[in-house]
Amino acid sequence: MPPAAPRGPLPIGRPAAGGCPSHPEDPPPPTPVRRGRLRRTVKIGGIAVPIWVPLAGLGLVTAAETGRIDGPHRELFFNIADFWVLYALLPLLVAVVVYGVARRARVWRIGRPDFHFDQPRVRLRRMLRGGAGTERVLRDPYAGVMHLCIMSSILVLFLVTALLAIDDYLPDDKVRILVGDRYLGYSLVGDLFGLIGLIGVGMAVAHRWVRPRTTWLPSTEDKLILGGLGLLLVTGFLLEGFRIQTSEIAEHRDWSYWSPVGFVVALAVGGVETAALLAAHKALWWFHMVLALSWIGLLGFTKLNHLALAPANAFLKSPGSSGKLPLIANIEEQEHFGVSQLEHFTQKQLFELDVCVRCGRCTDHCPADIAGQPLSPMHIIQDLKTYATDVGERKAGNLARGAPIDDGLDDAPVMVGEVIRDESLWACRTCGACVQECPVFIEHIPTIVDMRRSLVMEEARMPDTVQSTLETLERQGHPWRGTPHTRESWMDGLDVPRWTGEQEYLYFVGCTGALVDRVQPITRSVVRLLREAGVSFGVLAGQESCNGDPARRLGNEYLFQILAEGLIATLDGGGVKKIVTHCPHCFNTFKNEYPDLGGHYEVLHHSTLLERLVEEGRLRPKPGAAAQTVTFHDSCYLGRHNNLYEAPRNILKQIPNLTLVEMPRNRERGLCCGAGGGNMWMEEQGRARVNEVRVAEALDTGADSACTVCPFCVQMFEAGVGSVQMGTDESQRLGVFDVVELLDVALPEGEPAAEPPSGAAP
Amino acid sequence: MDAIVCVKQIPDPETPAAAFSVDEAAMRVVEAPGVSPVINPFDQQAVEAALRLREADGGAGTISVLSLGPDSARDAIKTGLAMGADEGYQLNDPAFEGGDAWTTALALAKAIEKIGLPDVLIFGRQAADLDQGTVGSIVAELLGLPSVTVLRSAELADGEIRVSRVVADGFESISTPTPAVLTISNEFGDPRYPQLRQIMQAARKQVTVWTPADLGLDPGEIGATGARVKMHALYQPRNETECEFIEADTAEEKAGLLAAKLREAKLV
Repeated sequence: MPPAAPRGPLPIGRPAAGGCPSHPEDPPPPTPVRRGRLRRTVKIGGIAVPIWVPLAGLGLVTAAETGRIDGPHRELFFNIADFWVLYALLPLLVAVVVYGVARRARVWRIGRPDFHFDQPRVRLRRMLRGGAGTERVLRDPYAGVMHLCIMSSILVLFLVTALLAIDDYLPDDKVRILVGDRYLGYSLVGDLFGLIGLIGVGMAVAHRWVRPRTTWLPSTEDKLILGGLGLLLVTGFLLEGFRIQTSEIAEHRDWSYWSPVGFVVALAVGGVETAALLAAHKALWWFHMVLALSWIGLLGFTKLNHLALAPANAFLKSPGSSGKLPLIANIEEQEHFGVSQLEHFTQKQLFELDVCVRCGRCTDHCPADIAGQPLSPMHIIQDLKTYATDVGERKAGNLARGAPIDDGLDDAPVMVGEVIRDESLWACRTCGACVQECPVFIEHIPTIVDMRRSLVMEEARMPDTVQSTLETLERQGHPWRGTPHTRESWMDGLDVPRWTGEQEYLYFVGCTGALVDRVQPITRSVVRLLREAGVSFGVLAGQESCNGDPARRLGNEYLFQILAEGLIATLDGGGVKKIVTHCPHCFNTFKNEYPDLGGHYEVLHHSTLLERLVEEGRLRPKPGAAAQTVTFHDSCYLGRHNNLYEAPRNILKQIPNLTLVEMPRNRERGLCCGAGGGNMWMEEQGRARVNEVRVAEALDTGADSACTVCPFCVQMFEAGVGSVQMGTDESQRLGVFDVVELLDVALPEGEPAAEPPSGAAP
Repeated sequence: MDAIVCVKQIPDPETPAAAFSVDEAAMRVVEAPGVSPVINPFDQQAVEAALRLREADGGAGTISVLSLGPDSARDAIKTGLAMGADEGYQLNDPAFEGGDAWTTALALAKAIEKIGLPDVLIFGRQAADLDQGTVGSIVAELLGLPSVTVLRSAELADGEIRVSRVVADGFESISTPTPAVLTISNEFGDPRYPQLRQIMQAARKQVTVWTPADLGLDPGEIGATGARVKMHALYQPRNETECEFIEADTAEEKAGLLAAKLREAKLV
C-alpha cells in the first residue's frame, strides 16, 4: 500500500482520517504544487532533447579542438595495473544482461504475436520525443528534473568514460585527445555531471523515502539502482580526489581547479599519507569498476531496463486515439473471448508489463483512485508483471519443452478474479488519464477492457446493474432501462427535420440525448440552434439505435459488433456521409472505432459545429443574460481521447457577460466525471464518488455553474451537486449546464442572429 | 433430472406505455415500430430454475425448452438454450394463431407427451403481457399431474420436490411427488447471463418444429376456433381527474357543502 502521505491537488483525494471527503464545510484545499503549471510543463518535454544533447556533447566538442600535447593531462589508469581484467569481465557482463532480457522475452513470447507498425513516422517521433526526450516524465516538474539529472549524468559519464577508453587506444606519440584545454574541459564536464547525478539521486531518495510525493511502491530494485548509482558517483569523486592529492595538486594546482569536486576531496584528504592514499585508491578503483559493471548488469534484471524498453514501447504504442479499443476480428471463430490467461494477451501487452517502472503517475491521475475506489492502474500492471514472472515463466518453460502450457500449474492463482480483482476492472472509467500520463507509454485501457471482456463473455460474471444494462441494450437497443420515453418523445412540439438522405448532416441524437429527461432539453436546444443557423440536417428519430459504445466498454464486444453492424447498415442505407453527434462517446465510437467495421463517416461533435457557426457569424450570441462565471469540465472522450479542448471554450468565450474560469485539472489533465467505461450504470464502491470529487473541484473555482458538452457528465454533475451541496439551498447550488444551453439562452428565440451567409446550406 | 420449460415470447415489457396504442375496432394492440419481442421474464426465471435444479441434482439430465408461437418465438427458445438448456421445440403453424390459454395448454400438453414426460415441467408464474397465469395449471390438469405455483425456491430431495410458495401473508413450504408442474415467481432470483460461447452454440442448435398434425391435433381444437375465451372489447381505460373548489364565505359553510358533496358521491 502507498504511504498515507499528502499528495494530489485536493484533500478530497487523500483525506485526513475520519474526514468526510465530500463535505462542503471542509477547509479549503492547500494550493497544490502543480496548480497553474500544468500547461507549461507539458511543453518543456519538447526541449528536453536540446537541453541534454548539447551538454552531453560538450566533452566531445572540447576534444575536437586542437590542443597542446604538453598541456594539462593526466596519466590514464593512474596507479592501476592489470586493468585488462576489466575487459575480461565485459563479455560476462554482456552475457548476464542478455540472459536477463532473454528470460523476460521468453515470457513475452507466450502472448499473441499481434504487432502493428502503421504510421511509422508518428511512432518514430514519439520514440524520440517521449523516449529520448523524456517528454512525459517532464510533465511532473519534480520528477522530471530528477529524472533529467540522473539520465544526463549517466549518459555524460558514459561518454566521459568512453572517451577515456578511446584516448587510451590512440597511439600516444601521434594523437592525444585528453590533453591541454580539452582535458581541463573534459574534467570539468565530468565533475559537473557527477554532481548533477548526485543531486538527481538525492531527489529520488527524498521522493521515495523521505517525503513521498506520489503513489509509491517500495521495492528492492529501487534501493539497488539508486544506492548503486549514488555509491558509484561518490566513489568516483573519491578516486578523483585521491588521484589529485597524490599526483597533481603539488605541481599543477591550477589544473585541479578544473575538477572542483575532486579538488575539494583532495583537500579533505590532504593530511593522509601518500602511500596509504595510493593503496586506498587502488582498492577503491577496483570496487568502483566492479560496482559499475554490476550496476550495468541491473539492466537485465530490474526496471533499469526502461532506458531501452521505454523508447521501444513508445514506438509500439498505438498511434491512433486512446479512445479506440482493439477489435476482436472474426469473433464467432475465436476460441476465447478477451483475456483470462497470460497467453491471451498480445506480446506487446506482456512486454509492456516489464516496461513499467512503478512511478505511480497513472494511479495519481486515476479518478477511481482519487476517489478512494478499488483501482490503481499501476497495481494492475505490477500485479500482472509479478504473475507473469511466476506463472508466465513456468508457462514459457512448458511451451519450450513441448508440454501443454498449463502443465503443473493447477496451483497457480486465477489471473482474473484473484490476481486482478473484478471490482478493480469494473472501477475503470476508461478515461485515459493513466494512458496519457504514463511516461513509458503503457496502454492500460485495452489491458483492463480485455479482462472485462473475459468476465462478461467467458464467465458471464458482472455486477447486476451491468447485466441489466447489457440486457436492455440487447433487447431495446439502448442502455436506459425503464425510460418512459421513446426515441421520438423529445421531438414533441418541435419541428425536427427527419433524415431524408438529402441533407448535409445527420444529427445523431443518441440514446441519452433522446431518452433521459435532463438531456432532452439540451437536444432540443441543439436542434433549435442548428435550424436558426440554417444548417442542413436531419435526425433518424425512431430508426436510431445505440452505436454500441456502452456494450464495448462494458466488455461485451460481441454485442457491440452486432449493434454497430446494424447501425452501419441503417446509416449506409440512408446515404449518411456526415454525422454530428450529440454525445462525445458516440463521437469517439463513430470516428475511431467504426472504420474497423467498415463504417466511414465524417464525424463532428455538436460543439465543433456550433463553434464553427458562431465563428462564421451564423449564430451571434446577444448580451442580455446576467453576468455569470462558469467553469468548463472536459469530457474525456472529447478531450483526452480526441484532443478537442477548445471548441466548447471558444463558444463560451463568445457569450457576452460570461467569464470562464478553469478548474486546476483541465484539458489534458481533466478529471473524469465518473461515468466513463460504463460506470454510468454501476454502483460505485469506495470512500467517495468520483462525481463528488469533481463537483468539489468545480465549487472551488467560485463559479456560478459548471458546464460541459457530454450528456453523461451533465447527469453526473447534477447528481454530484445534489450530494455535495445537500445542505445548500437549491437556488444557491452550483448550476449544471451543457454549453449548448448557455448558447441557447444567449440567442433569444425569434431573433435570427444573422442573415444566413450566401452559400449556406438550405 | 429431466425438465421441460415452457416459454412464451411477448412484447418487451420494459417498453414505455407510449409505444402502444389500442385499435378498439379490431380489438388489437398496436405496437410502435422498434418494440422488440423478448422471452417472458418469468419464463426466463423458469429456465433458471430448471438449470439450478439440475445443477443441485448433480448436473445430469436433459432440459428442453418448448414454446408455442410464430417464427420469431425461436429467439425465446434460443435464449433458454443460451442459458444452458439442451433442446428446443417450437409449435409453429398458422392454425395455432388466435388461441387462448386453453388451446395453448392443450398443444403444449400434447408436445410434452411427445417429447416424453420429464421429472419436472416448469413454467413462469404468468406471461407479462396478458398476466393470466393459467397455462401451467391447465397443462397439469390435462396431464393429470400435481401443480405447485408461484414458487420462490424448489429443491429435489428423495424423489420429491420441496418448494416454497409466495402467498399473500408470507411463504408456504410444501412438497410434491414428481413428475409435477412448477410455476416460478420472480422471487426465485435473477436469471443468469449467458456466456458468449453458449450464445453461439445456441445459435447453431436446431429447434424442432411441430405442427398440429405432428401432435395429432385437429385444427378445429386449436387456434381461434378452439379458443374457449371470446373477447368482446379491448380498450384503454381512461384515468380522469376533476378538481372542484368549494366556494363559500365561512369555513363552516365550506365544510357543510363539502360534506353534502361527499354524501352525494356516496363517500361518507
